[in-house]
Amino acid sequence: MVRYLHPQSSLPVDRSIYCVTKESSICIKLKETDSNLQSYSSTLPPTSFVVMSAGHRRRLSNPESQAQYLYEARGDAEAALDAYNLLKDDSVKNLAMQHNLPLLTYLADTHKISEQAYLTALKDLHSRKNTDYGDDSDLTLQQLVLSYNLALHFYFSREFEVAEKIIYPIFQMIQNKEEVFKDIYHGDIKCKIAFLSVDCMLEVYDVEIVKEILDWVEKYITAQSESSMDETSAIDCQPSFMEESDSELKFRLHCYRARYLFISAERDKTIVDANSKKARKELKNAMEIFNHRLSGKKSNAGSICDGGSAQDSVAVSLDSGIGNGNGICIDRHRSNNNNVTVMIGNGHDINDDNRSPFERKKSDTQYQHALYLKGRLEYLKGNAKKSLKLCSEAQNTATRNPGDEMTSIHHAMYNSNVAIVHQTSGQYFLAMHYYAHALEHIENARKECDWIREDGTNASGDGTMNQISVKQVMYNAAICAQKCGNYAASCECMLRYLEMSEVSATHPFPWLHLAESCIGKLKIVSQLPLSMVWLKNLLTRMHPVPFQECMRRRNVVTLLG
Amino acid sequence: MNGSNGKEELDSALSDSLTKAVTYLTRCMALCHTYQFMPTFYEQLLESARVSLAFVWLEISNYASVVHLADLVLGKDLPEEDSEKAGSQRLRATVRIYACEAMSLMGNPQGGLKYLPDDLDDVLDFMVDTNKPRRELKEAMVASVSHVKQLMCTLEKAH
Repeated sequence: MVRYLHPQSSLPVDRSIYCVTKESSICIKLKETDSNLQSYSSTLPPTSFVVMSAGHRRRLSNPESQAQYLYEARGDAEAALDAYNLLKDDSVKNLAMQHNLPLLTYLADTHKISEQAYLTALKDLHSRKNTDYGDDSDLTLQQLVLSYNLALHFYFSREFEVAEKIIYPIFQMIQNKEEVFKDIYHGDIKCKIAFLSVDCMLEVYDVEIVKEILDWVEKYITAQSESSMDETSAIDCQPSFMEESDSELKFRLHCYRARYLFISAERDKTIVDANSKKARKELKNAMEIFNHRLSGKKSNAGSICDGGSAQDSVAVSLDSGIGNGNGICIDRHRSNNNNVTVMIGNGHDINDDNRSPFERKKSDTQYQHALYLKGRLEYLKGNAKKSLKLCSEAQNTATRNPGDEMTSIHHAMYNSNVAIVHQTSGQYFLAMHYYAHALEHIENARKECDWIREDGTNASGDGTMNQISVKQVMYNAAICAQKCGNYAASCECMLRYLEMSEVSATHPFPWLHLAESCIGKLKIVSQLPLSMVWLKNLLTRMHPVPFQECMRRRNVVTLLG
Repeated sequence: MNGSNGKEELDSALSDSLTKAVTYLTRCMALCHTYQFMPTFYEQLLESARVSLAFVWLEISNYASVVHLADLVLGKDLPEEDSEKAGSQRLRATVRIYACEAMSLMGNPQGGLKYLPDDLDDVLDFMVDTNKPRRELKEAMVASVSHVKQLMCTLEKAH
């Protein structure tokens, strides 16, 4: 009997790396981007959870805002929770309290068993608030925060479409009723909502209206900068500790623009060159902003109002009883310089070179994100070497400050990105090596923190969300393993990917891939002599190959106040 | 480990892989058909799945299904885009060989030859695969055609 020919790669298109999603409409778009670096990850928290404060996000010297400070400026959810618990009796009916307590409990909980309780509370508050505002015009900051946090939760659960359905209508409401909201200060929450909408859209490759949203953000930032020139307005608009300055928002905007251009170029190969040039400009601007305004040694709080000439000076002194919520005193005054003094407990001054670990982490994350984006740009242009160099530089960012340690998450992300670069350069065996490393680091991360979910998402005590898309790594590794001729591993990875995702019932490609791997396995096995049956058994056995995932970090923004 | 056990294991492994492949491919094809207006990409997927399934049916000796699948693949119009066209032509050339072999094995080598194009090199042009040298492909194809012709001779002698 003749051994029939079977096309090894029966699809005419190169499917090397692409991401499968649920909707058929998305699949069409994905097809066009199939050979691109879909899972190339970066670390910037594009948006983050927000803590709610009572009515305004203005910084006031009351116990509630002091508790909020502990979370927002210091990233200490546990201390903030203690402080809130002391206030509990006084304002049990306060909406902010009803939201913030479950959130902080969830963040402070090392095992994250209270996640469901927080989600239930959030959904309940969101639905209650939704029935309250029948008319769009009375959309309050609290409603914005609730919608934002709920959408963010779904985003981290990788339910991007659900998140988009929640957040985009809110953005449209803000956009359409701009005149109504003009006089209401909402802080940076509007930008956060816009960015989260963009995030959701980019995840599902629905890029048609992304440009429009980003243009709106640009106009909004410009308008905010102009209005902050007016001193009266600036006094009214004291931002909260965690609100992003104009520079931060601009930095983020440039990064989003670059990402949008990358994805557009991946969809339409004819505009790769043009978009690469534009993306290079965007990234250059982002790096300039970072180097000149964000990477300074000054406290983050100092850059809060750097968009205007009226600069804030915030003096915050906290005595040693801060952990108990006692004796906290926050004193704010305005001056014409940009100096910020933050005195904490024992009189430690973080104004000079000594930024708090939380601030350093934030700054490092921004830098790392920009570097990974630059790496992606080089990758898109076909400069694999440069791309690898930038990946390496981005990884080293995690340890550039003395005392910083590279976490397993950083390693995993680096390895995953490097694997993708190698895979798309045709170096499949090398790529497999890096995927294996990435998976190993994810396993280590899980051992270190038992609350990291199967899908790689986790929230740490300082409110930072880490997202490691294990599914995507599995998927990429399955494709790579097939190219290497390791069909058993390819099958295993794809099966694990299907187990973890919900696409098995809707998307045909993983099934075709599995079938091809089975056929490949069959071809290898049937070519072996009988004496080599032990080897055949080895090949047919399912080996769980350690594949890993990339992650994205986000700060948990939220407390209602 | 003795020889008979080894053979059984080998047969079992082969059968296992083929069964799984059939299950996966059937699922893939069913999912492609769930869309009322099938996207272009799904049409390519469906074509690939059909060719792969034809290969599996041929291994399992389900020859009638092979011919049916080949007819389905060849009955569709070629895609308009050049990049997609080349891939589709490669798949079509492959499925022609499968159909030819299946027809021969069903006792109709004359019918099988109808699936083959007049010029073998034309088919080879479409079957160039970056993973395999062209010579190897040609040898395999020539072997397939020789097998068909041999069957035809046998049948003629028998009659």
